[in-house]
Amino acid sequence: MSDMWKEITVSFKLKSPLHIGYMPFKGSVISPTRYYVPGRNLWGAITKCITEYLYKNPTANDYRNIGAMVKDNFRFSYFYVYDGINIYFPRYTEHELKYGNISRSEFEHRFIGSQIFTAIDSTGTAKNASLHEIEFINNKFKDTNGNIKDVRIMGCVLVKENAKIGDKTVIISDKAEILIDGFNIMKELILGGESKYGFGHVLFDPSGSIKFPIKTVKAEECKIEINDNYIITHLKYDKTIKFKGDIELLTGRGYYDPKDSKDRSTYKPGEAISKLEYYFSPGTYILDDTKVYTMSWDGTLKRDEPEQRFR
Amino acid sequence: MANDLNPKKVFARAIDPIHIGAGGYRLGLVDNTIVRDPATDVPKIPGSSIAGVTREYYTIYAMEKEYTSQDEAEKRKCAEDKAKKTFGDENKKGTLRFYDGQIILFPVSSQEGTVWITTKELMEYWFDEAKSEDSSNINIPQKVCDKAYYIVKENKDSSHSKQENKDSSYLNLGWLFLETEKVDSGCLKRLALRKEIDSWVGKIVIVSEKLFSHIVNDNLEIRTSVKIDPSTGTAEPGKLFTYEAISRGTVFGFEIGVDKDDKGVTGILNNVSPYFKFIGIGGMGTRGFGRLELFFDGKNDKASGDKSSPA
Repeated sequence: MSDMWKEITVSFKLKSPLHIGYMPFKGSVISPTRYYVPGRNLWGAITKCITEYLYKNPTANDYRNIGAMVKDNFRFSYFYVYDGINIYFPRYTEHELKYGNISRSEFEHRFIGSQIFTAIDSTGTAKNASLHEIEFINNKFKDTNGNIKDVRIMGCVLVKENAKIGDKTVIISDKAEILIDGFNIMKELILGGESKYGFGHVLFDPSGSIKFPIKTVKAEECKIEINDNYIITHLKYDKTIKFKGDIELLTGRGYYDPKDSKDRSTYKPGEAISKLEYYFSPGTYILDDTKVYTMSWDGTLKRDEPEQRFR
Repeated sequence: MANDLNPKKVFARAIDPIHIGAGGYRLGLVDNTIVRDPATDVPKIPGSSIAGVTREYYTIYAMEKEYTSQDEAEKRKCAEDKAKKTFGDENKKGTLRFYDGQIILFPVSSQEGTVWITTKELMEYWFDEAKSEDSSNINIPQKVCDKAYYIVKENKDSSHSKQENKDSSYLNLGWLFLETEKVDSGCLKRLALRKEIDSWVGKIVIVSEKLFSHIVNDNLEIRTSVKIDPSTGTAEPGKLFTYEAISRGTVFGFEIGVDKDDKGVTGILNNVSPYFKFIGIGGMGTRGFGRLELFFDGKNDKASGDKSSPA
């Protein structure tokens, strides 16, 4: 019998700016950020959190083993900027790419910042060729009245019924916390890049959360329904799908490629680049009425084959 | 089990003006601008600047105190290798995360003399709730509107405090003229202001978050310099430039996060603290900018040198 999945809407408050780097990047700033957090980043952060909770001095293998268990027991949607009222999903509309109900430029003005960095060499002056700019989602924003508020991100986590990490049972509390031995594994996470400079620290913040617009329709197969034609995570490219939006080559950096069955792990951070695959970008408008997809561990979606779809 | 993301709080007082260049241009009066938070526009010290100087000072400390070789290059290499273990390099991620330094208390000239402005949110974030009766305990207002709130310290001569503010129901902060209100012991929220921080500042005034950014930006130090032609002893044409800095006496707060249960951060801070006080951070060091005096839990005063510093 297949396991059932339970969905939880989760939101985090940004304690510091958040940088989600991606490849290949655009050319306007040297290191741009995504304006949302892919599920893969959540998987990595939760894996780190659980491993360091369970082991005092974890080895590379411990991280890898826990990572595999997290993959089996959790599904992470993409997380989007949330201001306490609106979730800013991207949408490729007829005229422009919008975030929520505002234009991309207005979204960038409100939530996105950047900073220029340079290394200093032994002479005490800027090191040659080290000047670079990093774009980030800011942790504060000014609302329309000029008040300064915290930026939050919101998404959805699916947890397998009777989920276990090793011999530890995973419990979901009334407050939507995910507990292992009473420890909330989502209490504080470090997401994305530039963490050495304090970036990416997020705090679990369930206050005032609205429901994330994903509905589980076949809980035993982790099939979800999105109540919109605009997809809210990457969808595996399929040439039969008619769409308006964008296609991108999706990859990522890590110690190893979780999709690679062969052991090609490295000890250098970010050295392993995962296998490139084509996906429809979040916000792409899918022209047919099929809204049921299978969600994988990293939040990416796959549409079923036609015979399965209409079964 | 290791899983504590709580960063260590470090306080710093600017002994000199602090200039962390933004590396770009803004339209306005000043040529060389400083780094600001994109959402609030309040100047800050980026985590990368703190990380860079901490690493360098830790390396210098190791060269001076821990390695006895006569060969300077060899000493430097050994010290750098030691620093790599904590701060990381391209092959290994460091174990420390340096968050941006925030302005907590900013000195502004007024008819009452210098007052240190802050916000309720900053005080609540950086200082713990008072647990015992102490002369450094302060009361903060429950709600802040567009007024200036004088902080009255508990158990200090209350008649003196009343006398101080008797004649002035308004306070000028640069071009702003704000109605004042005294926050006395009738308020419900009490915070413990650390004695060391208390000794760094005089009168504390709380303003709204909206006003804080304007007041800080309008009271930054702006200097004008020009290059002198050595042959004539007069200004060289086209060489006049202006630069801004965060004023002397400003109190900053920054945090250092530690990965994997590494408790060595207090020792590192004790090692580098004297260098912050005598060399400093940021640009314009040759013009006497940049020195910072640090305070943190576990500070060893013997390690940080003498107590001489301008008020």
